Amino acid sequence: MNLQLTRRTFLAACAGAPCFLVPVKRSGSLGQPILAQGPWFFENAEPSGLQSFRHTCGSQAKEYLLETLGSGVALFDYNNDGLVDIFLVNGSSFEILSNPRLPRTSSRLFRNNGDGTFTDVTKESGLINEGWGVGVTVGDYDNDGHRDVFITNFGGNTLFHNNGNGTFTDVTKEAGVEGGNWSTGCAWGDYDRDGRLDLYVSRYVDFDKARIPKPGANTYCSYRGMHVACGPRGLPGLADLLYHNEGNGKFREVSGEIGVRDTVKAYGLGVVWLDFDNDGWPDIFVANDSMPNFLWRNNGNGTFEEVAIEVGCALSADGRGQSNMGIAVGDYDNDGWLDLYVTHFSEDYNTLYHNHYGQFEDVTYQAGLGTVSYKQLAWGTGFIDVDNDGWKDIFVANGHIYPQADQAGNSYLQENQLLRNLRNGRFSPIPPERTGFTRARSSRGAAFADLRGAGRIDIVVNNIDDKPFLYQLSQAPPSNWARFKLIGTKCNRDAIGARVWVTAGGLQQMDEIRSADSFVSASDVRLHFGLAQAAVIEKLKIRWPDGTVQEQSRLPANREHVIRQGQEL
Amino acid sequence: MFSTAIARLFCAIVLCACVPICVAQMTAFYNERLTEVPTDHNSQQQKLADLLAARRWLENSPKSAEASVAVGRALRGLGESEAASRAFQRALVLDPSSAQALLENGSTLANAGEWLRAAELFRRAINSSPNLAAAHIALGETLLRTGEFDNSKNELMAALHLDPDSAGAYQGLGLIELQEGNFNNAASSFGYALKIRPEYLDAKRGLAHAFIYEHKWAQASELLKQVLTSNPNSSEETFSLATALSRMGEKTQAEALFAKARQLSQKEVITLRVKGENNSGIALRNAGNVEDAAAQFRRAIAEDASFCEAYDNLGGVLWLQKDGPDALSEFQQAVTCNPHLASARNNLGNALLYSQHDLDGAILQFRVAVELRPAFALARFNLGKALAAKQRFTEAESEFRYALAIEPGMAGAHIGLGLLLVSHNGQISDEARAELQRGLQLDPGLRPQVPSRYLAQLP
Repeated sequence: MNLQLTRRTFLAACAGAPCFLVPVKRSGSLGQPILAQGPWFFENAEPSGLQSFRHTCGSQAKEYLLETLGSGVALFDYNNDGLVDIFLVNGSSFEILSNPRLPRTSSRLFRNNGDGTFTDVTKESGLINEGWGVGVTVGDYDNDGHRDVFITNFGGNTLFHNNGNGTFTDVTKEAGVEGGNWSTGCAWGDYDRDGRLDLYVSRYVDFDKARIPKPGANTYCSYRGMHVACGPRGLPGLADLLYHNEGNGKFREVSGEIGVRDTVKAYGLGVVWLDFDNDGWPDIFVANDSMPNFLWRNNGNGTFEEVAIEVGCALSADGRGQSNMGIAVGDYDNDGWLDLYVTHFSEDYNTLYHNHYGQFEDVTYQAGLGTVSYKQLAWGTGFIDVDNDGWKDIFVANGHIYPQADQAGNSYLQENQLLRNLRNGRFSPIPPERTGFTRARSSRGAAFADLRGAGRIDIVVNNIDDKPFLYQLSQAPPSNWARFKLIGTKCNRDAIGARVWVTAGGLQQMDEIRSADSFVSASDVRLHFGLAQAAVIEKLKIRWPDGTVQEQSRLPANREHVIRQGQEL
Repeated sequence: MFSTAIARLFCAIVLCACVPICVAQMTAFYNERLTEVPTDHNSQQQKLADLLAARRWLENSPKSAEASVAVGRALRGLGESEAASRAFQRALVLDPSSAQALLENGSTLANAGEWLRAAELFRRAINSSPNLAAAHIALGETLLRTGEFDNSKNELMAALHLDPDSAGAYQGLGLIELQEGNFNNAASSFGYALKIRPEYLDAKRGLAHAFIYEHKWAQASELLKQVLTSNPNSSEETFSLATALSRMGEKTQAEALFAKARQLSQKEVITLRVKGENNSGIALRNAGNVEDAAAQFRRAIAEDASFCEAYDNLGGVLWLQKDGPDALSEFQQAVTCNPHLASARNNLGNALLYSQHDLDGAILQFRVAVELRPAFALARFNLGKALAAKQRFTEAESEFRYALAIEPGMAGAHIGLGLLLVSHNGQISDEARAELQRGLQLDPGLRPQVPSRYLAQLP
């Protein structure tokens, strides 16, 4: 199969003739069902020390949409000790923001001690965000080898420069990335492949508390007959922002001049960079609440074109604009094209968009996912290979936005979900007693990383108005794995946007390094692959963000491989 | 002589100063507009006749829940959903176990998204009348919305058992099969629904999507074209058709339809947003904050100048602020924007009366309003008053009677009708007395509108 086949090439090949999108048959398949009976995950936030964090997001009554959105989480190694640390974004409240005498809320940075525990290092690190935090993305924007943190807020965003000594400095104003009003999703990516990370920021509602109607004031403020927070339908929106990295610690907002024109002022939430059409240029997918998604296709010349409707990932199969929240990106069927799973409001399904030669198709029903998420209001999500069988499963963080849901036949607190990849294009929900996700909360952001360095994916979930979840596998899957840490030398340092193909046991898997995904969250940039019984990676291929390609063969399993651009292992 | 006196009386009621100032240009303008308003006159008249018949039934059997349901259905047929809802509620009060009343009230709740309460009423309807297939279908559809797919399927199957020709039941089963990924079964269900009701649009839509999921693009596109003929501005079906055509290699057509789908979906977003601004304005107005309401309506207009209701609402709050000329201007703008906006026609009629003293112009606007919306009781009442002021008593009487048939609790219409009936024979008849009495009973504040010589004759 030609992995470089672009959508345009495909369409040209189809021109003038019916072009049926028949799924490609893969030659090999890894793995057996390998996790034992009993709870797969245990909930480990309390013993690990994360329980000192409690999220705040407005009043319990949730009279305003701002109080319902929650926040994200980032998993990254802030001090380069090889261990993945945890950053939990915190919200705030109208009372706190308007009364300087009240104690501030702050996002929290937890250092991984390497022994299964974490220490709150927020104060000494200076990574103190006291605004109404929403989203986070991590990227080394100045290529100094230390990861920087960008946080979206209601009321102005914040960029923290990593000083390389365990501390951060707020450089928002110098960098020129403050934005304004209510930003949500954010993600670093190098759209012009100049080696410097640019920044996409989605924005939600032009929120002016004085002008927002009260619950029940009109048809956009009711849910199943209950009076609830208004919006986003009926409220004014805000245009998204795209900042170009000028290379001197400064950024320039260029959305209008390069074709990223959010003229409709969509209600933007999750953001992810991905090369959906395999042309080597990073594109941007934005989950828009209550309206069609954006897919900004990178034209490869410094400009973008919005093509979500044409390529089939703007709407559901029946043409509905859904309440798009979080985004999972991954090649779940190992056909060489990145697919999308987009989470939605309750009384609707989360949509699985299968990517076939750069053309998406809503295959939710075909995948057996039409009813499994119908009652859930879903947020953070990710394609993660829980049992290392080489086939990516789906994690979904759930929780309603209306406390009134309990009186309306649904639940404010909901259990999170794991959907197991059956390796035939279908998924099956794993019951809570098997996953261990038995405690219902109103979850929001979720991020994924191997926090213990044990070859198992851990999950951190930020719960609104509550303590976080840290889900860890109870036992190691009896299967092999490999992790790749890429260091760019000509491209951006963390190789964000790099694509990695791994061939083992007759199956080729593929993934890309992302600076953010899920719901307003950032997972570890190191790529994890499950290898089932394969003890050796037959072939590794890397396409770096600048387009250069590197290949290696015969790599051992069950370890992290650090690969520097242009150098053999 | 007497007629003139009565006309003066109506002048006093409606105009305060009955000086017919003819604004020739304006009347000509609205005459022109009037010719542009297409209405299915016969059909509307038939629906109105149904309403009047239902009202008579209810008058003769005031404790009949069935009669009240009939009134509600007739009102719903005329597009008066709020009044219909009140009639259904009244039916339920009259007979809490009436299956039809339970069914209709449940439907009202379901349409408002109150699915739990709706399901409860549908269950009660089934308890009262286990063989009522419509109740099983309604419950099945509601359970489908709440995600209780198995229970939904059971209800729909029960409906089919009772009524094998229930297209609605097949439609609901098709939707469940679709969600569960059983596309063949879904297609069969939609197919059955279409055999029973060949023009069932939702079934065509469902079958088209079953074909799409099965990649039967040609069959899907044929159905989608039919759906789009009925609803050419559906962004959903435009997108689906574009997808089907693109998969069939019809690139040019597909691109054009994708572009149209994009435009339509963006327009929908903007419309929702403008409706939100407009709704906020209404909430502010209802809370007595007319200045902020006016600002909100202006924002809606600024966002989308083609959102005609905002002009009408802005005119309304300007009227409340006693800014007659500007209010008139906004109502005119609303009517120019959308000649079919009955509410704006009614408001413009009032503004022409009170601001311009243009009785002819007002009558014209009220007439258009009731043509557009035959069960618009307030416009009929206003028209009745204006016609009476022009001494066109027979027509006026008819309008008052229509208004009361639609809205029996309209005090002003009772008074108006009572005064007209007085005019026919020069003395208070029993019917006139009854109408005046009923009007004053409903709203004692209207006493000043009834001359003392008539008041003296009332018990």
